[in-house]
Amino acid sequence: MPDRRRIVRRRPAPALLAGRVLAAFLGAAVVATTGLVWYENKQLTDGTHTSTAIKGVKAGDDGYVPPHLGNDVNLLLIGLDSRRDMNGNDLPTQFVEDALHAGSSGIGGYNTNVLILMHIPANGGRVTAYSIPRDDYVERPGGNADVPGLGTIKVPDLGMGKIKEAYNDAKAYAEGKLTAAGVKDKAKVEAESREVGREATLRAVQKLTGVHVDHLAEVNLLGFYDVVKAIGSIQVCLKAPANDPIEDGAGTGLKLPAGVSTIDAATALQFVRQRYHLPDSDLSRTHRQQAFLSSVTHALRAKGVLGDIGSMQSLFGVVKNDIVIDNGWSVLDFAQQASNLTGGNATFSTLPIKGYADVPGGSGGKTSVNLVDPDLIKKTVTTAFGNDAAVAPPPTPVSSASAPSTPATPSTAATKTTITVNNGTKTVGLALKISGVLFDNGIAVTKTGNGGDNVAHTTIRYGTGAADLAKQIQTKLGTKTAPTADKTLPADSIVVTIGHDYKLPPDKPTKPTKPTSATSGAQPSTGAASTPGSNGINGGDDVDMSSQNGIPCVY
Amino acid sequence: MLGPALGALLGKAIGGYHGPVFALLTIAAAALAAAAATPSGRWWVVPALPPVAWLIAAAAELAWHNPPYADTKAKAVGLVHATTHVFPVTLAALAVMGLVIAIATVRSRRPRGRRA
Repeated sequence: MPDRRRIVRRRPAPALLAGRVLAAFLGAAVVATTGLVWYENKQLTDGTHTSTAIKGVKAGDDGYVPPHLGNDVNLLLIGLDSRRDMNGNDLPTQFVEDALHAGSSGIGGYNTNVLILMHIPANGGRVTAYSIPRDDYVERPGGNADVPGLGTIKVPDLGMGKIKEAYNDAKAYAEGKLTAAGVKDKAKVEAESREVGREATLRAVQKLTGVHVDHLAEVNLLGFYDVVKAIGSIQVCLKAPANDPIEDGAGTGLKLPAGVSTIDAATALQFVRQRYHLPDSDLSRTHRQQAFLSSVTHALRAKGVLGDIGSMQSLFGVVKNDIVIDNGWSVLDFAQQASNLTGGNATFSTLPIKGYADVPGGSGGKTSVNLVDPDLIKKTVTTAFGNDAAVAPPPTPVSSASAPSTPATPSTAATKTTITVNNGTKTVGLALKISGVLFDNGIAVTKTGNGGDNVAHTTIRYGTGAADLAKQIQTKLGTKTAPTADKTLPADSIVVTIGHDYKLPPDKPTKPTKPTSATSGAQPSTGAASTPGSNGINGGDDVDMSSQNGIPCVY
Repeated sequence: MLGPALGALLGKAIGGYHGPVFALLTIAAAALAAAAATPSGRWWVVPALPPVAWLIAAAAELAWHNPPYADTKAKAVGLVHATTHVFPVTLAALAVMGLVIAIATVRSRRPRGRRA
């Protein structure tokens, strides 16, 4: 009898047994699923360099701006011109000089050569981004920095200076303090001093723009190179041929035709770093950087990386050693917020400057800076960032499935006619701008150059077989003198020499037009409205990510 | 269920609904539940912990995240954050439950005479 009772207790009813199995299965499934999510998320974030600089700028610091209400995100992208890794070690010289084409490790210091302040509205509206020209002459406030091991140190007011140097100067100050305190761990000195540099940059940017930076992402030269290398290659579009030879240690060595080109990581670095042989030097360079970001987004979208956590994970695995994001942010948050960008729903502008001036500083005793109107900049940025309610509904995104894999803009390789534009005046960058005018009208120029300083009248000469195109060029440029045949020129070639009589058309909103069939087929340009004029030099045409299927054409 | 819920509530009050308070109260409640349950009841208490803890963490994340999640995609990201936070807590709570049950089982198998 006792044996039977024991047996009955050990055999639960089938329904109860099934319930237990079901409960156990459910519990195990939840553990397995949450574990998988945890593991994947950990893989995504492990090894990521994070910064506490956002919270390091505290209330009471000059340059502190209180966080805004709502879910909008203000993101500061920092491109650091450093030839050192995260531990402060020089990158291999051969790699820097041969692969990056970036000169020796001693160049660049810790200048923030790229500063892009991006506003991502919570309502899914258009992303607005402003490039801050690196040579903008601004106030660079000091502040209190919490440095582990040292406690709170007071970073002095750095005074007026180039905004790009706030990082470098504050970092150098903190590095001195850490070294003086006997900190010998090079990696620790590098990490802690960079944090101070980031905080100085944040104070300067917030002081200048009047908006709070919610998140930051920092990338150095190596990180940039690795990002593009991980993507494979990207497509960029130039309105004028680029030829930036390396001379006296300056120049990048970039050589690309007008139109769309597919470039590798090293060439991409040249593309975003070129500042000589451009119509507006550094301002034109900001447009290159903006167009590059658009092209990268286009490439990621075309390859299906954005929106696919697995692909994003593998990409991030490659580049996470080279980038820094703030600790209040995650890659997942970024992926979610970046959805606005993936539809090409973004406009990049460059903050206006008042003019140029030489101020004391630099190795030669004086250095050239951009003069800015801080009030105008504050007004421009706060108005644009605070105007989300008024943004137009986003355009229908071009899905990667339906979009052509390459933009409609062909490269000059398609043309058989060689078009050379020479600048016959002292106006810097005129030949490039003329190339841009022709490009906007569907004619891609092959080469630009100098044609003397005092050419009075614009001339168009052509070789055999190029009469029709020469006539079209005359029409597009609106010049008076008819093209002339020149037997000294090779067949299928045209030489345009710009004289003092030529007047560039004023900046105006441009719309994409179809290329003329008889020409290179080069697609017209930016599809963007120019920045509203200011009482100075405006930042040039906006770069619209939706133009040219996400590959905007720039100088 | 009370443990994680109380943990999330108290945690929110002191600054973090997924923080140490949530973890400690969840683990403590799991231990108490395992100790108080009958051998038959443990078949239900243990498997219930993961879904209950996850549901409470997810609800707290969606309800209290500041700033609030604006759209479905953002909420999905919020759920990933909640899951990432709750998984180690769940594992620890399950381990503690296992320990409590093991101790209870060993004690129940001891001859009664030795207790005195």
